[in-house]
Amino acid sequence: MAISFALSEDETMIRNEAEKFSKSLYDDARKFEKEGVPASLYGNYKELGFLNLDWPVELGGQGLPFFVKTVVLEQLSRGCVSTLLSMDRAGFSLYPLLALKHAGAAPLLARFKQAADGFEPAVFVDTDEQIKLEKGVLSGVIHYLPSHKPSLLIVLQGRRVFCIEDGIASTPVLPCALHAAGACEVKINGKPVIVEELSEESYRKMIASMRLYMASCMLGVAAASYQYALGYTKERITFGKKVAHHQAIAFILADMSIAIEATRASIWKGAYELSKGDGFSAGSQALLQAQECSSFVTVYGVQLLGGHGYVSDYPVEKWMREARTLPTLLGGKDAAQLDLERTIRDWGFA
Amino acid sequence: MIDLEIPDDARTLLEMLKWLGKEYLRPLGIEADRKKQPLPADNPFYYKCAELGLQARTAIEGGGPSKKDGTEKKERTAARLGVLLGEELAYWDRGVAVSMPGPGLGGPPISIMGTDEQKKRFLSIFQTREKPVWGAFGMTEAGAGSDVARIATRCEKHGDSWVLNGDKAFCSNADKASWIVMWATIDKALGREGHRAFVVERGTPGLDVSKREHKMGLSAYASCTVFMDNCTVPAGNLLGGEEYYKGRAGFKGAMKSFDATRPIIASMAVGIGRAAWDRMQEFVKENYDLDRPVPRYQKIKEHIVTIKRKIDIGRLLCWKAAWLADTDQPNTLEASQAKAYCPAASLDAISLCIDIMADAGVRNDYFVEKLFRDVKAIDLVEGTGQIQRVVIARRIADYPRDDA
Repeated sequence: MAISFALSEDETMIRNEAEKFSKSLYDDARKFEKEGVPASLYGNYKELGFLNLDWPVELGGQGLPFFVKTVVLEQLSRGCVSTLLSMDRAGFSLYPLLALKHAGAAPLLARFKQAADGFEPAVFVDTDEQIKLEKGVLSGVIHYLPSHKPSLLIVLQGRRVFCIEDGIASTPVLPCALHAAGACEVKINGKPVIVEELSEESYRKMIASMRLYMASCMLGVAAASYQYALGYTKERITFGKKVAHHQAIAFILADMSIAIEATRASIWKGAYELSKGDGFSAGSQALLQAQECSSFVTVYGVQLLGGHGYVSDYPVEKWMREARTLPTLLGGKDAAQLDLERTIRDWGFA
Repeated sequence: MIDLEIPDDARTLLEMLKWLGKEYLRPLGIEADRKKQPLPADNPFYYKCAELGLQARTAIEGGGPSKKDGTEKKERTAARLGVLLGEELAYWDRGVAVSMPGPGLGGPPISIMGTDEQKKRFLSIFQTREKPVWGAFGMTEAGAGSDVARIATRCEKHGDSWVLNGDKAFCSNADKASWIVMWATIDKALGREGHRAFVVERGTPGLDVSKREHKMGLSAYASCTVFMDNCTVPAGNLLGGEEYYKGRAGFKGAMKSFDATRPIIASMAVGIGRAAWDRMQEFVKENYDLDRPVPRYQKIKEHIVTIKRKIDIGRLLCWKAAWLADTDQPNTLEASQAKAYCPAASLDAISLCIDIMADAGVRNDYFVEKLFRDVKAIDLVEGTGQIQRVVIARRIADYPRDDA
């Protein structure tokens, strides 16, 4: 029988490594949020092999299926998703570049391979076409990008991809969460090095990877919040019994566990479909699911801790802010929803 | 990496069910719903099931645990096959599916708790291809639904027999059954420890299966109220023999069989949801041009995306719980997660199908409103959604048992 949810031995080993690393991220999360991610951590991340897990072998990657990356992303996001986004900048920005056919992509990709200091790629999904290309000049404003100072900016407008290096001016801003990843407003005014219209197939593959990536991050944040709230409510006593043993609370915990299980299954299915050729629909679905799950779980994560949940001595408020911030990236859930609505024809509605 | 490919042997079976579904289950289910009458035992469809060996199959794959004698090298597939077939059957008609011959819910307790002699005596009758044979399961009572520990049906030992007195509710297919696995108590004060399971055979003096409920949906099978008035059962019909009931094994036997059946029940909700999806899709294609700039069409597209997500994810939860069972990993938590999620998710999905079809959605001949009535039952049977959450809370948070 082929239906199986088993991780292979290698996959389990990688997951366990990620879990270990994630614990160290968790311990220092608040510090990283305040002071930024130390340079040494980038080295660790690379050495542990997390950065290039699913990169093609030609790029110096390990060529593993994207599925493994989703498993790692979930684990690391449990520790600190904003530190993860900082460490994995190149990892995330690679998906659009891999989709390009343009001759200019090769030298850019070469820089990913080196991933030297100061190389800070960033991706912005411009669903509302607020960035304009006129007479060869790209201009517009991005209100928030989780980056300190992007050195390469990849703007996606539907199937159109712009890569720009010169003419991007960034100013720091303060976002709701993800502080360790950096945060800036970007003013664009310059000539893009690459303008390309992706084929439908390339677009679907790229978007599937990116949405599954973000969904895995949301899942990790939700799972962290659930685990913490579960532990807390199993310890604390109110009205003569453990908080978790009041049925009103127990049912919320049960619903959290269901939401997380459902989301993980949805992401895994997306990664599976991607490996079989087309994860666009399942990947977009997973993003919607992850967004719904993480907003429900993290808000209740705070609720179950009561007043403690609201203060930064406890981690749950951070996860709630993160779960609100993550879905605004990549065009938000609206982009995934609209893409799926356009896919309805493929489901037999035409 | 995970694998979500349905294997070829399962595909072949699904194809057969598809044929059976189109030919029999769907039309018979609609007919039963209009007449508000269960199908009679002599319906040709049931003979077809026997002829195809379907009742024998369900008897073997009653969901019992695998033998661990070391001879079994091939991975077991019964649970995964169970959820695949469960979804397909319910897609065509869940009511007719439940009415199909076979041991039904009585199968798992016999294969889990029964002695070898009992297994042979009560399960071998399903091997015939000559005529349909049914089994049934009697636990629920009017005064004891979710709280099964409160069952009041009494059993008393008199010499070589047991005498049963009490009424059972919602006993599916009891009207057609050759036997019913009946739960009774030796002493109500003992709670679950006092429970005993008996195989009560058709025609036993004092057994009356003639009363049936009038339900909102799922009319194709009879949910009977069974009366036992000094119903006398031979001692050899006590499931597992007296030894089995030291400690709390009796109740645990029943609960263990639920671990095996919950994912299948959940998958039935997925199947009903998929049936609504298909009918809604047909309706949309016939009546709407979604490319026209009608404001409500935007909402319809949004609903379609949501419906698909709910059904797709429900299916995955069933598959996961079944895969765990097949690979001998604990699955109580996942089985309950699937059982808690799928019925409510499918009800939401079907309800959105009705929204999409608007006024047409509630017309009986447009079919979806039937599915809306049918699917609700899945959130009630074999542990309500709330009971599933209690089970989940026990696993994740050591939620206490009241009798602990």
